Amino acid sequence: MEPLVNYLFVSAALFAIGVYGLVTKKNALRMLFAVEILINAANLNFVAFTRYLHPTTVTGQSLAMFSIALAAAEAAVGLAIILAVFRLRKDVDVSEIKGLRG
Amino acid sequence: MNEALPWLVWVLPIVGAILTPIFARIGDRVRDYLAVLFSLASAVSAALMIPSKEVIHSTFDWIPSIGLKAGVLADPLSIAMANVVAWISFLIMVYSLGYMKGEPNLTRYWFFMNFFIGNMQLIVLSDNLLQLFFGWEGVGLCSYALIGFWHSDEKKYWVGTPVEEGGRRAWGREQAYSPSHAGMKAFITTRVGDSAFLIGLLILYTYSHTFSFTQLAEHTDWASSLASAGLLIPVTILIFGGAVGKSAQFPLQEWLPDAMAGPTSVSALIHAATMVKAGVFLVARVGPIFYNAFQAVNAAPLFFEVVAWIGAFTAFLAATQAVVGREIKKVLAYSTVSQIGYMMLALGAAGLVSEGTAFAGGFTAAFFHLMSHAVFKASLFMAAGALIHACGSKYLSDMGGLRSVMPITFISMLLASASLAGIPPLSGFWSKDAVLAAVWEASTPYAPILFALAVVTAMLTVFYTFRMIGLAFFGEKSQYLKELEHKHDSHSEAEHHLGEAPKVMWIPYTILAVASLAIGVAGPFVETSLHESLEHYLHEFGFEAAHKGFEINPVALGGSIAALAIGLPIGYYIYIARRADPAKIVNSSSLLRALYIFLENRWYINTLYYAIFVDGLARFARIVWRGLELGVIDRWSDATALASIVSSKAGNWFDKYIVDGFINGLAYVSALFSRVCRRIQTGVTQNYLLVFAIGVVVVLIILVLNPSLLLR
Amino acid sequence: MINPLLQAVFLPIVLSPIVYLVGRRIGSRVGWFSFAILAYSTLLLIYSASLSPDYFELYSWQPFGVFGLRLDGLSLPFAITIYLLSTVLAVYSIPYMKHRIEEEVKDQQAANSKHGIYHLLYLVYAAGMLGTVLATNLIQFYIFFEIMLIPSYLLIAEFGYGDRAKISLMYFLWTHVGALLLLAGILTTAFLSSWYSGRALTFDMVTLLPSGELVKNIDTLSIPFGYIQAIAILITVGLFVKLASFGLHIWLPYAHAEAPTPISALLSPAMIGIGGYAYLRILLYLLPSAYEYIFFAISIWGLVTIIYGGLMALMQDDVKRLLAYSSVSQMGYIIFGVASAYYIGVSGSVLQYVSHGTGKAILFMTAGCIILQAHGLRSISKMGGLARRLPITATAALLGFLTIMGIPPTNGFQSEWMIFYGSFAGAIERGDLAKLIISGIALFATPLTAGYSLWTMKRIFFGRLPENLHEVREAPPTITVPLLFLAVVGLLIGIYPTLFTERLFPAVKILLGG
Repeated sequence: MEPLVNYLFVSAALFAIGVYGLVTKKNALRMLFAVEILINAANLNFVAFTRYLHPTTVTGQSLAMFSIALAAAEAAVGLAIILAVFRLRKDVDVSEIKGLRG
Repeated sequence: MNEALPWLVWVLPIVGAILTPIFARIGDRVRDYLAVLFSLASAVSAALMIPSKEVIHSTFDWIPSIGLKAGVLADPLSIAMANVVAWISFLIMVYSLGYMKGEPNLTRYWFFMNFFIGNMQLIVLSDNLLQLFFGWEGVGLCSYALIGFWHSDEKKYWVGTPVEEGGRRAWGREQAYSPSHAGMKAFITTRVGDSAFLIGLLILYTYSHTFSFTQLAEHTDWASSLASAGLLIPVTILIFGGAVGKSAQFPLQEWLPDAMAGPTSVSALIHAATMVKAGVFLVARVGPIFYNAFQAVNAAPLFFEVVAWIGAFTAFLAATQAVVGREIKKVLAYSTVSQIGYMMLALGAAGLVSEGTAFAGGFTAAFFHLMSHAVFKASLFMAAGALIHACGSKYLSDMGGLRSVMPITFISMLLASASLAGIPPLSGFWSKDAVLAAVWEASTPYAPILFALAVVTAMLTVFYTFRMIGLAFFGEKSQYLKELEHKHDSHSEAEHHLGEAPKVMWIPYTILAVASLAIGVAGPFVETSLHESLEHYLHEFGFEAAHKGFEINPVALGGSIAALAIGLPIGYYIYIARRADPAKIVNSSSLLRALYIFLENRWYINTLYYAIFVDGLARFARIVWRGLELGVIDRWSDATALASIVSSKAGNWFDKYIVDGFINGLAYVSALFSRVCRRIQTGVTQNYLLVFAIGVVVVLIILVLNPSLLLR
Repeated sequence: MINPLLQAVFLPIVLSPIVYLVGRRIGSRVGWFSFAILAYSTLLLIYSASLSPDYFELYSWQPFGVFGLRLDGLSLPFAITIYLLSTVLAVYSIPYMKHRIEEEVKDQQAANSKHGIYHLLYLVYAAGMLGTVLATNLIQFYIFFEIMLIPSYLLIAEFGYGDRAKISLMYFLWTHVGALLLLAGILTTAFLSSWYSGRALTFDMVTLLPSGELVKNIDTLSIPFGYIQAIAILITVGLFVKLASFGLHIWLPYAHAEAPTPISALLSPAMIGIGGYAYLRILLYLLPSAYEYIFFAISIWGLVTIIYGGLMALMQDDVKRLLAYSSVSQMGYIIFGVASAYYIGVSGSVLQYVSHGTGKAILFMTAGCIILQAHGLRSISKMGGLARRLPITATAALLGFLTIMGIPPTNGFQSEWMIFYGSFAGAIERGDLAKLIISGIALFATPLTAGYSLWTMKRIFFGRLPENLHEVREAPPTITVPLLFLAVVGLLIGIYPTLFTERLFPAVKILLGG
């Protein structure tokens, strides 16, 4: 088998890409994509650790399944919010939406 | 029946008084006659008491919890006095029918006259001092109301000569008074005397626990307790203070001359015959009791000295003022003050004797003079009233030559005046002689001085009496009278009937004048029987009777004759024979003029009293009012109000700025803090993500550096 | 007849709202209702007095103790005077308040409403006064004390003359502060008594023994003297504000002069004397050592008050202010009698309350009569010769003044001689020369009373009648009948004081400790 650390590198890379996307992008849709990538990175981590450390269980895998479902739900909600905001402001540039400024 | 008589004597007139307004509803004549009738009924009851041999003493419970009983005591002294009062009162009531005819408001007049008679009799017949005080103040009230009878104060009713009519000012003050003022003056002056009376009485009661005369006489332990507290003499003198006030003796004599503002019938009744004698009666009632008290504790009879001296001085003082009196009633008023001085002198002398048996001498003299004076002075006043009615003026200078116009009045007044002057054989001679004798026999080193004063007063009395008679009845008619007659002729019916008085008026005073003559003619007999009955009375107090027959004291007789010998010719010469003009005599010497003014201004005593007690008091009150009440207390009250407003404002300020301020301050601080913290909420999603990320990194670093944190 | 005293106190209070409603309908004539209620209550008082010399009713009243109403020899004169005056003045109020209210309120309905308010307050006021003198519990006493204060304040504020808002407030504040001082004294007494004697805290002044007798319930003998002094001063000052003694009197001339006259006639004669009653019941009875400490000082205070009141009366032009200062002087007599430390002197004070009650009420009523008949005339310098136009009023005024002056046969004399006798006897018993002299001076001050009385009589009723007063007519019977009734009562008591003294003397002896 391949060493676990390879998979960890991949998931770390994915995580980094996700964080980079989240922090640097102004477009809300792009931030959403980045969030999806982050979630996938986490899923990969879960599966990898379970396969290598506890091969007889399926803890990570089932958690990944949950996570995928939740990601889908969260994407739906997120898209709905972005849609609503777009309808209101005609713009999805996050740095322009400062209504909740305290 | 006998028991009821003394009660009837004083209750009947009071009942009559209360019923007067009811009778007035029926009719004026009914009211008038019934009023007189009640006084007659009282007089008859009094007369019916005379034959009783026993002393009548009837009591009933008044305030049981302090053992106070009300009662009447009819013994020789009070029976005699009651009759004098009752019959003279009745005659004056009859006289009033004529004198007050046509006056409005007679209901009030009759009410107070009867109420007065009832209260006077209450004084005479009371068996205890507290009840006597009821009558005492009652007569004071009636005196006030009757002096001020004409309370609308029209100038013609004023006593004294107003400045606009030529009156003299004393120390800048006018000496004329309105009736209501005179009434008030009388009441207040006597109230001063009464306060003294009350103090003495109450202190006496503290020791004796009884007000009753009989009990005070029987048990004299109170005297020793009082004496050991040093209070015996003060108490007796204080009680005498009441007599000084009521009988218008020095220093409380100034109300009586001004009481002449009242109707003449009132002057006759109250201020000549009865009320002013109440003081003498009081001294007569308590005199024997005090004498015994002094004897029992071996105290000096200072009380009697005081009485004698005040009496003598007052007699002299008033007589000098009568000499220059312009109004006929004022002359008679001063004369009354003077003669009462004689009575007090006699009572005082009575107590100054060396042996108890001689007490009765002065006592009888005083009482005899009281009776004698009541008779002739009432007569004089009533006759004066007739003169005033006839002439329409109160001034002697407005009269003159009335001998021919009013012959009956002339004879009557002449008789009464002769009695006053002490001309034998009239009653005044015997009574005054008795007084002089009593004074001479007093065993005090000052007896000769008292005697001399009495004799000089007698001289003055003769003089002013005949001055009065001369001015009124002799000589030519005055200018005023001539004008009056002229007016009378030109109108068919004038108000002032310049002729003899109506029968209903001259009968009473002529009766009294004749009585004075009759008593005088029987003088020695009257005096002796009075002496005996009073000795019998005094026996009850433990005095032994001397049983002396009638004696004439040569010194006293000499004094009386001397007074007549000096006074009568001078008076006759100037006023009756009109050989000399008194005005010229007075004006001829500045000393005489000054003396005249001094006497006319009543020795300035009146003015002095006004300066101190009226003006002085008013000034003091004003100073206290302005200075203390308005200046201090009112300001203090305003200050407390101001202080409460200021403190309330201060509290308000504290509440608003400090308490509220503190709360607001807290709020401000939190707002400040929140403002600072709020800056994290930029609303920009990227910022939140950045912070989130940084936070995660920080946590990771901590965990890497300190892995033990994971092992919990 | 059940619970007569309870009825007498509470019936007026309970019926007062009904009287208000009736008054709104019928206006001034509702005074007859007040009269009926008060007359009935007065009869109840007399009935209670006939039942027993010391008649009392006790009701449980947690947590303060017992709500008691006691009509003994001491409270009887006060109670009868208060209710008698209230009854008589209810009739007097009818024409007087009609004139007063219609002076200011033109609309008939509004005027009727005000009549209703007046009588409501009047009834509560009268009942409040009665409750004070019948109370056996200290807190109960204080409550009624305030109950009588508040309606009187409102009456002055609503119906008074002059600057009435300010004056009624002044009156309220002064007497309220006095009441608070009294309350402080009362509470201190009760608490310290309980602390030092070890008994339970109680505010009942008396308690009922099985034998049916009432005995003293608050034991103050063990309280240290320092506290006693403080209590004495507190209670004295507090009550002397009510009694308007010198220095604390300034509110009285304002309040009594500017109150509507029927209320002046209650304020002055009836209410301020209750201070004297309280002094006897509370200080004398419960705190004999305090009394011993202070009675000489208050005799001097009384003397000063007598003279000061008289002097100030001389300076007044407003007839009601003059009568008010006269009341100050008369209260001085009451204080003086209380200070005599002898049962007859103290009884004299009680009788002085009665005689001043009848006399001053008569005088205020005559002043009100002049105000009524001469259209608001109060200035003495503008009066004169009124005896011709107002004969009945003048006669009554003379009787009133004679009562004040203490001349027999009015009841003023009985009270006066008893006060002074008590003072002399007390001084002699104790060998106290200073007290004797003070008593002498006080008696010599009585001509001052005679002076201002007779002088006022003269200035108002005698002499020249001014032009503008020629048309003045005598007052209607609703005024003259009450006036004469009071005068007759005064004379009756003056001649026969046994009506009160038989029960009063024993009661006062008990008060003074035998």
